[in-house]
Order: sequence, then structure tokens, then C-alpha cells
Amino acid sequence: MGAAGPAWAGAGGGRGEGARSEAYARRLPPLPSNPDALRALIDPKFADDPANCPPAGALGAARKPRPASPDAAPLVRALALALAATVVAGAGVGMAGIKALKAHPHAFIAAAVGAQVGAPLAGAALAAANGLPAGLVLALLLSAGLTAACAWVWRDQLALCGGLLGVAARATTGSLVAASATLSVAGAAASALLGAGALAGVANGQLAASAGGGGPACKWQPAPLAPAAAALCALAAAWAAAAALASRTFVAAGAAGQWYGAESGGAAAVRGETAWTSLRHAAGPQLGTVAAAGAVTVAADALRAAVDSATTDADGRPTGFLAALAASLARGGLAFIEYLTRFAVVAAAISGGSLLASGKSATRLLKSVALSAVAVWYVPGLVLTTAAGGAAVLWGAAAAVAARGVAFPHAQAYVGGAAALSLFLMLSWLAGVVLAVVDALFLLFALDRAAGAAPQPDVAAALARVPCGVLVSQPDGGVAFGAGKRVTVAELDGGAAGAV
Amino acid sequence: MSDDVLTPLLGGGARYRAGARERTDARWRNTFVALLAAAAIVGAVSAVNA
Repeated sequence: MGAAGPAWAGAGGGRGEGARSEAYARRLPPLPSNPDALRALIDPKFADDPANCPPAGALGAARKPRPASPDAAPLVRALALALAATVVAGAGVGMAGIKALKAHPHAFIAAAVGAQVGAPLAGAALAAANGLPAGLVLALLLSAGLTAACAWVWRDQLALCGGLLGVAARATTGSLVAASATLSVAGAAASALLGAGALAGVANGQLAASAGGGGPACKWQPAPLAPAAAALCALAAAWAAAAALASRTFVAAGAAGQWYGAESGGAAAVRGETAWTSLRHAAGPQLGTVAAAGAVTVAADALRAAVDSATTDADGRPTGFLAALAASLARGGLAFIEYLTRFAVVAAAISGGSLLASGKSATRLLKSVALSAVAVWYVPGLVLTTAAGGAAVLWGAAAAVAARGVAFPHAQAYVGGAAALSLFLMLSWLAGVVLAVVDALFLLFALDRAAGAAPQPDVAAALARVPCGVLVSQPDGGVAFGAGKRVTVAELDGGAAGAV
Repeated sequence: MSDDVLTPLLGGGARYRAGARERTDARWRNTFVALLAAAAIVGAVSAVNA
């Protein structure tokens, strides 16, 4: 691809000119002199304008001067300030949230559900006050009503969720948050650098005038090997990001294991160990474990994308019943593989074993205690995401108000959106740590039950009411336990103790 | 439990024994590190050339 030089190279007439143009294409012009690279890649309409294409055979010819864009410096300053404030606020809000979960988990759940009901209600009131269409008001009211009804139907599950998150918050120590933050920053930096490398690979090339016809006036002509270089960097970036996420689960599970051991009277075995110990394991002797888990995630994502593109048309609709069925089955299988991988990472962090051996052990263990579903129970995640979303919306609104003096078109929308998104990402990341702790405590609890040992009392109290049932697919494609058959762990202990 | 990996966790009250220095994932680690190094070099060259 692209080995033949730009299409306009030979159109200039002279042979010398063509050869020079090809040499130019191979030289891979530096970014500052090739400012069209990103524009052409980001904005598809850019290539439609003949004024943006180099004229045939005339390199560096004067192009149509572009209208001066407004000075972005005030916006950049405001964005930087908002992001810095968000980092501070995110740390504060996150730690306050963990403290609140520790002290009053049920009140936290009630507040999260209340926010989910209250937000559409407030939206409906605002819409009605501003004379917006009645349909919108009605839809918002309906949404609030449905959420409230769901919360009422799920009140038992929400109470259980409060117990689970409360005990997980106790195990989410300061060193765990600090170690996870360090890990995530390092992972994000590595992925961003590799992603920038991929972008630089893609930007190797230039705009070239099309040969003619009714298509765009010019098209992007990649330099030789540029697509391969970009693909290599993109793969590495995806793998680094997935490995960083797996490491986050690993560190949280390791720290939860230490907490569980200490709380269960095994303090002598874990004295002096913190989440930093887990981080050292993830980066050292067990780097291969998290790398393998990341590879599974990347492969599953790639397969999912391949299945989606193979079974849907250009508009995203399934190409037929069989295709939809096959895609659904494939997605379910991939979700299950990711679920097992997650538990394998948790087990590897606790035991120090390899990914495959730990995965097999964890699967056997979970099967033996008939509790295979709780980890994919989506209620804790839903509650934490709702709380993060509510805080992010409020923060974004505050940032937008603070940015009203910035001299740039739509500055308030940019600053508010950036602040809300970054706070949401921070809090979602913290929620991910807490959810990994929930998974780890669940596995440790199952281990103790399988061994006939007395589990840590708080964890046992929180998990003893977890309902067990068959795995079902949710409307959003995720997998969760089915509520059709309500059996609690306490009942299992009484009725099916022989199975353990 | 006749489980090679998790059995050590259950004995002597020491439920947590991470970092047992398992080396079976070494090939994954080597592949991962090699790919990252290769991509870093290629990315740097691309950035210089772009």
C-alpha cells in the first residue's frame, strides 16, 4: 500500500518532477511541514476541498489561505485549570465516597438511587419551566418512575449490595488506592505514548490529488510501511492498556487478600505487606500473568469487533436471523471468557500461581461452592457508576459556570464537558478498584467455605445472603445471575453442604 | 481440595501468599515486553519521520 508514490506524482508532466515527488513521498515530511495530516485524518470533508490538495506536480504551491481560527489560548488555560481542579476534586470525592461507603453503605445506596430518580425529575421540572415539548417532560417523568419502580422491586438486592460494598470499602485501603493510581497513571502514560506512536505512523504520508472521477478531490496517501507501523503501535497500546487494567484487578485482589488474612487472624502471615507488595508482584514475577490476561482481553475485543462487522450491515443491523443468533452466542461466549479471566487474575493475585492454573482452580472452586454468578452481578457496578455519574454532572455544571468568562466560542461547554468526563473517569476507575475487591473477597470467602474454615465474619455476613441462580443474558448483552431461583448461601450451607 | 495452586493458601492460617514466583507465564511476559519495546522504537521512528 502506498509503495507507488502519490497519485499526483506522474501528473505533472516531466519525468524528473515525478521522480522528485516520489522521493518527497518517501522522505516522510516532518509534521510541522505536514500540518494537513491530522486534519485530513480527523475531518473527512477536508479532502473534499480541492484547495487543500497539492496541485498536480506542484509541491509546496500556495494554497488557499484558511480563515484565521479564534485564539485558543484562553480555552487551553481554562481546560488545564479545570483538569487540575478535577484531579484534586476527584481524589477528595473518591476518598469521601469510600469513607461514606465504609460508614453508611445503605445510605450511600439510597443516595445513589435517589439521584438516579431525582435527576430525570429535576430535568422534567426544568423542561416544563422552560416550555420544552410535553413529550420530553413525559419521557423524563416516565424514566424517573421506572427507575423508582426498579429500585422498589430490587430493594432486597440493593440492601445486599450495600452490605457487599460496605465490606469492600473497608478492604479498600489508602495504600491500595495509591498503588492502583500509580499503576493506572503508568499504564495510561504507556498507552498514550504508544497511541501517539500509532498516530505518528498514520500521519506518515501526505494528501495527494485523486486521479479523477466523482470522488473526493484528494485522498490520503500513506507512506510505505506506515500502516504496518501504526498497527504495531496500536496493538501494543491496546495490550498495555488491557494489561494495566488486569494489573489493577490483580493489585486490588492481592490487597484484599492481605486485608482478609489480617482480619481473619492471619496477621502474622501478612505483616508488613501492603498493596505496594502486590504492585511489585504484578510488575515483577507475575508480569507474565497480567500480560496474558491483557492478551485475552485484547483478543476477545478483536474477536467481538470481527463478529460484529461480519454479522451486521453498514448501518449496524444484523444481516439475518442466523447471523444475529451466531453473533449473540459468540458475544456470550466471549463475555464468559472475560469473566473467567477476571477471576483467574484474582486467584493468581491471591495464590501467586500462573494465569491458566489459577483460572482452572478458581473455576473448580466456584463450581464446587455453586456460587458462580455473583461476580457478574451488575447491581454494585450500577450503583457505583450512578454515583460517579451524578458527581460528574454536578462537577461539570460547576466547571461550566466557572468558565463563563473565557473568551472562546462554546468555552463553557468544552470546559464543563471535559471536567465532567474526567471526574467520571476518575471515579469509575475507583469504582473498578472497589468492584475488584468485591470479587476477591468473594473468592476468599468461597475458599474458606471449600476448606471448611470459618470465613472472615464481616465478609461472611455480607455474602451469606447472596442469591444464587442460573446465569442469564441481560438485555445489554452482559451476563448475570437469574433471579428466577432464589437460593441463598445460608440455604445452600444447610441443604447442600455435602456438595462442598 | 486437591488443588495445586490454592492449597497453600489454606494451611496454617496463611490465606495470602502472593508472589509465589511462578514462572509459567514467562513466555507471555517476554512477548509482551518485546512487543512494547518494538512498538516504542517504531513509534519513535514514525514520530521523527512524520
